[in-house]
Amino acid sequence: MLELKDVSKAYGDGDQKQLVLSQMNWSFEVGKFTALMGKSGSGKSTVLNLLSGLDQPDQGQVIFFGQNLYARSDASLSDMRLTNFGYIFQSFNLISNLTTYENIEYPLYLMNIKSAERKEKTLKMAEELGLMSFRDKLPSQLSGGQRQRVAIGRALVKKPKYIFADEPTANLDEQTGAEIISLIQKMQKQHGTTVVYVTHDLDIVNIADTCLYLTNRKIENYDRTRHSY
Amino acid sequence: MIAHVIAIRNLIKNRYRTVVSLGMIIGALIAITIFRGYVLRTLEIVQTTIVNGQFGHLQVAKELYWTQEYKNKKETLLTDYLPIVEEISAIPQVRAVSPRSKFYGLLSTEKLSDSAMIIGIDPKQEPDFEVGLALIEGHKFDVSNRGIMIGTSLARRLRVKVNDDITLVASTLDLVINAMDFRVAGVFATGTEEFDSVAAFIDIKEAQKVMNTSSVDVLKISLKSAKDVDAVKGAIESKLSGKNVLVKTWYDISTLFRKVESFYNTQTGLMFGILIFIVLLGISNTVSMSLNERIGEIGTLRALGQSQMSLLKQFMLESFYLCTMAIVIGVALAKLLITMINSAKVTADIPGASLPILIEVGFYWDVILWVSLSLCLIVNIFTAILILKYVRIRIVEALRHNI
Repeated sequence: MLELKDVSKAYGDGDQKQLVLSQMNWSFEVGKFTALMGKSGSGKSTVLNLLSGLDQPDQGQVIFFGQNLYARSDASLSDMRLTNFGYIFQSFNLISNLTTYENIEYPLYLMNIKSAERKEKTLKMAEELGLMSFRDKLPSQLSGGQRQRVAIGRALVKKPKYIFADEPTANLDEQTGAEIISLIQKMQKQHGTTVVYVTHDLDIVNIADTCLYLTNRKIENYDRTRHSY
Repeated sequence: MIAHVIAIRNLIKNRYRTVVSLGMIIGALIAITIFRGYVLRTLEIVQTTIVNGQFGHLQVAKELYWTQEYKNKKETLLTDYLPIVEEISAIPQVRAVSPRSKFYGLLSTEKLSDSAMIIGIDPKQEPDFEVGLALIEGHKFDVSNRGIMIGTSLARRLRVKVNDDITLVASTLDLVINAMDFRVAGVFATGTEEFDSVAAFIDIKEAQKVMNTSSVDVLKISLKSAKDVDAVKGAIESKLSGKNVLVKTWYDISTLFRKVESFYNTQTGLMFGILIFIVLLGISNTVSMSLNERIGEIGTLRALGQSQMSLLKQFMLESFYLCTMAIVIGVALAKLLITMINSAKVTADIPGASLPILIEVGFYWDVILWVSLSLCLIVNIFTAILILKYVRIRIVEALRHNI
């Protein structure tokens, strides 16, 4: 169970300080595809960062299976991210010096998985994502869609319990975006992964198990019949 | 393995920065290695000169001889020295034991006179005597001919050449004036102007006759290997305990050598400090630039689950590879440069030297090891401090650099 408890978060200092989240409380269902929507600047990415252990709240707690995520040491929190969380970024964030194969393999390397097993899992993931013919290419030699596939492969290869996707299709054309969403959905169904998916795309409503909407620094259930912000 | 791949690829990707960093470390390594190699080689040459020409590896004399706190010179002399010679000669590492005496006198030709420091030696017992000095003209003196070898500057002042007659006037131990005629057998130079302007060598037996004594000042001991100095010193001390004698090494005796060594060591330390400062300035610049460009990557790796310490280790790998490359290239270049310098046979006139000095640079593995380890250690510690600052940046803040 992943839970936000009285979470507040602000950016800036002094007069420039801007409160983004205030006393937010929410429990995210395990094994479900949750879409997190809201207007630009509403704090969607902030919620995702807080949930995934990337940024700690100013107040309140992020509870992961009964424990405050941010009470952990850096090493323990890093290990939590490594073994339980997968992150898919809008801007891919691939390691520019590593090939497709190496980018996907990297989390397994950090997990100290043996070379033979690493190779097997990496190749299997590359094949599932249709990346075999690009496996020796560097990110700079790939298209946007291919790069996002690599990023998805990197997030999923370690079979995390949670996937956090921050507008992963925002920089892609419609068709490629649809492919990426279907890919994440397929993986979620296959492995029972919990997905928290930040998006502006209303079409996601048809796919997500739960749709949430961020407004007035709070989370609320999204009215699926509304189909507009 | 991937961490190594990333490290190497980053070094290759940022070629310019890598080359600049390499250049600075290599430059410092070569400069220190060559300077230290020159210093150590010079000290080796000076040591050989001192050991062979003046002091031997060890000297045995009465305690009063070393302290110079005596009323009469007789008190300082080794009287019954032959049994001591036998005892010392029995030590396996000893090659030769030679008695020596030193006194001051007046050397006179028909027209000129000058004071001189006369050293009596036993040429048969000092096989390397001539190694310690350069024979400018003539040959090793022979006893039957009452030969005398005179320092080059002293010979110049007295205007004597080989086969010229010269008279030595000195007072005996009983303070009676004595004189003896000699024939100039050779003119020598040790390279030390101060020594060459006053020193003259005669046979120890002639010296004893002039001084009217059967005693000697010291016993000069030559060893088969310079490495055995301390061991043989200990052995002699235990053999001669209770005989009122003191054993000193060439290093103990040669104040000048110790001062020169200390001076050179200070210079080396100063040079090392300056070069390290320059290297660190350059490295801080290139490492900071590199890390600044990679803040986004740091954010990504942290988001993937890499801890600060793990990231520090990964970035340190680059520093390690950089240092390893610098050492390999630096050592090869230093070796090449040293070979070139030595083969050029460059000589230089230095103050206080009676001969031009051949500039020789030694290649010492212990120096290479010391310089390489010190440089790498300092560079890596400094780099680690810089990296620590960057891996502590908030992840979300670091990730913004990817956009």
